[in-house]
Amino acid sequence: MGKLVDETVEDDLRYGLIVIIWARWSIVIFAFILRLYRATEIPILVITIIGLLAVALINFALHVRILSKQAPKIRWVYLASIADMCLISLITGLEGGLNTHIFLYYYPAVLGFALVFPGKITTWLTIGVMVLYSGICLLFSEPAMKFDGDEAILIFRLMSLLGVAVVGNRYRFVEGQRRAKAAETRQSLQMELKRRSQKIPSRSKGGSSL
Amino acid sequence: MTEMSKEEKTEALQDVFYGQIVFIWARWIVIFSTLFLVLRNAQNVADIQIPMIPIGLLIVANFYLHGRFVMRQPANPILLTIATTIDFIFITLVIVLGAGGGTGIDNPFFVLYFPVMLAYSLVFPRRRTLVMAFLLIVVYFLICLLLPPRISIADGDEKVLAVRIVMLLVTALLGTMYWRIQRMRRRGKDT
Repeated sequence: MGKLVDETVEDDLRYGLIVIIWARWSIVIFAFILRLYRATEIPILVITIIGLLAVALINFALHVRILSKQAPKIRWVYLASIADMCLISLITGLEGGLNTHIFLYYYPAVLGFALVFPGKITTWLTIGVMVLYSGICLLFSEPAMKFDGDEAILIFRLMSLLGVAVVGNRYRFVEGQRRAKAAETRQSLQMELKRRSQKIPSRSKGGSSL
Repeated sequence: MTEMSKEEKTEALQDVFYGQIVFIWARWIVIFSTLFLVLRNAQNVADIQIPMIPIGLLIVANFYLHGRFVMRQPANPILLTIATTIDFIFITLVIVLGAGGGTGIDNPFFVLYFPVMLAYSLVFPRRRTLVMAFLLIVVYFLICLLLPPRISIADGDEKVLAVRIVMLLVTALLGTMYWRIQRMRRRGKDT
């Protein structure tokens, strides 16, 4: 059973990893462009560019492995996704927590792992993102987060992140069931064909004896 | 040729059959968020009574769709498209009316576009998804442009709006990309 689950995860990664990679490219490219546009503070700009370059390098390595038909190690794929979350959270914290639009980059990142990773890992990663983002908003918001409406904004954002994770992972599950059902049907058809094809020689054998 | 198109048609119907549960979950997220907004902001009974009418209708509709799905009698593509359009209209109305914050670009409710857009892109073909995403983006852009406080370039609002629109488009594109990959996977082809 364990092996079967592992094979499914590897198969899911083989097909779905490209979605995570493109999600990461979209984050890197747009974050890079928008960071340079109307930038004001040099330290934040430097940290962001270094972080984005590091993520781009990791993503390039994963992309090359896929293009050369080599399956990357699952552990590295998970770590890369965690690195994405950490980088987005770091920039969010530096930019002013709740009052920055940087949180929007969480959406493609969450979507990527929700579509590809198993339910348990998606659940933990989503909880991690939600806790991390809430902590950043509570501790590093500039101006500080007040409970006169700011908490509603935070809850909407958390709800929609959760929504993206639920929708993505649910679809992954449904697709898995759909493939399993198709495979079951195919298998029973093949068995039926085999059974019928075995009857013919026995009949012909009987015929020849006559 | 005819046989192939028939096969594709069946596959599209199966996409809707299997995939509509994601719409239902996306809608539950919208419902719970709106419910939270209404209950949190209520100052008097009327503040709950009036918004509860559309929310109640949405809840009934979603229970109906969820029930049909459980009974293996799923909705057809047209009904699903209409239901998604209603979801988008519902979220847009909250933004236009300014519930939960300011109107237009100041309203934080736009984030609920993301799960609904994702659900749509995972079930329908690329062309339909792109048309829906384009319409949604145009509507949201116009709302931000025309409704107060409007877009202030001095405050960097254009940058905020650009990130929102681009991320919404990216969500739709990634969803449709995954849909295509799954379709190829079912056919036993490599990506």
